[in-house]
Amino acid sequence: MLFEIDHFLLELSKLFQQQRIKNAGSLSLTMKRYDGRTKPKTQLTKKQRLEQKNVMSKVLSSSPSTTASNDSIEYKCLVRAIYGSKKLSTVVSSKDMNRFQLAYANLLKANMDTLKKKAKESKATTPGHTSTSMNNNSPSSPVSTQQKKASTTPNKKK
Amino acid sequence: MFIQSWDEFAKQAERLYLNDPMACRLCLKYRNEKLILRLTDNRTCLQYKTKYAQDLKKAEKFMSSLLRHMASKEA
Repeated sequence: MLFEIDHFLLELSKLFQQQRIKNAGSLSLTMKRYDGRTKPKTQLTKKQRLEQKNVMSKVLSSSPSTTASNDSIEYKCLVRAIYGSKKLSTVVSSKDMNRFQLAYANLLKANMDTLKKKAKESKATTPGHTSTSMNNNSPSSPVSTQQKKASTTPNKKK
Repeated sequence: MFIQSWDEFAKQAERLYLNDPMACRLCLKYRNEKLILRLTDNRTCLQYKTKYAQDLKKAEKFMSSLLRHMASKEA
């Protein structure tokens, strides 16, 4: 289903909620550049291809400076989301890109929360590191309390 | 098959995309505490798998920059 940007974002958030409830199935998001064509590129016959080649070579040899470049094309971006059998898609142009990108990033960050926190590094050095730091912490506190007790008791005795 | 380090994935992905921006697509699959990123131009495919939240932030930034590039005016 092709939607406008706002509608697409709304439907996408719904899909995330559904996935959270069901706790099954995978949500696929896809992005691809789009140049706005609605008709397929026509396949040329061999004759046509040869003709085109001749024309191109003639043009190049006569005036090498003039090149037909497509620098006026404004690209868009196709974004698709698939969950189970539900398919959503939208087209984003550069005009809406700022808005869409912010909203999209926020959506992803808010909804992909079942990922774990980074596990402790499993290198050989780091467990030794952490254990020694822990040991340093524990002896210090009883020592300080013992010192405090020692200071108070002579006063009481006196 | 899966690239182990994020930096390596980002570097290769950028290279692949800039090589032919029209042909490349980025796919993101999210399921059951796993996130899989895939950038392909139908010839080669780069994949990255993660289950950590901190990788999501990096992936986010990467996706945003790619989005911007895809919809921009090109020379």
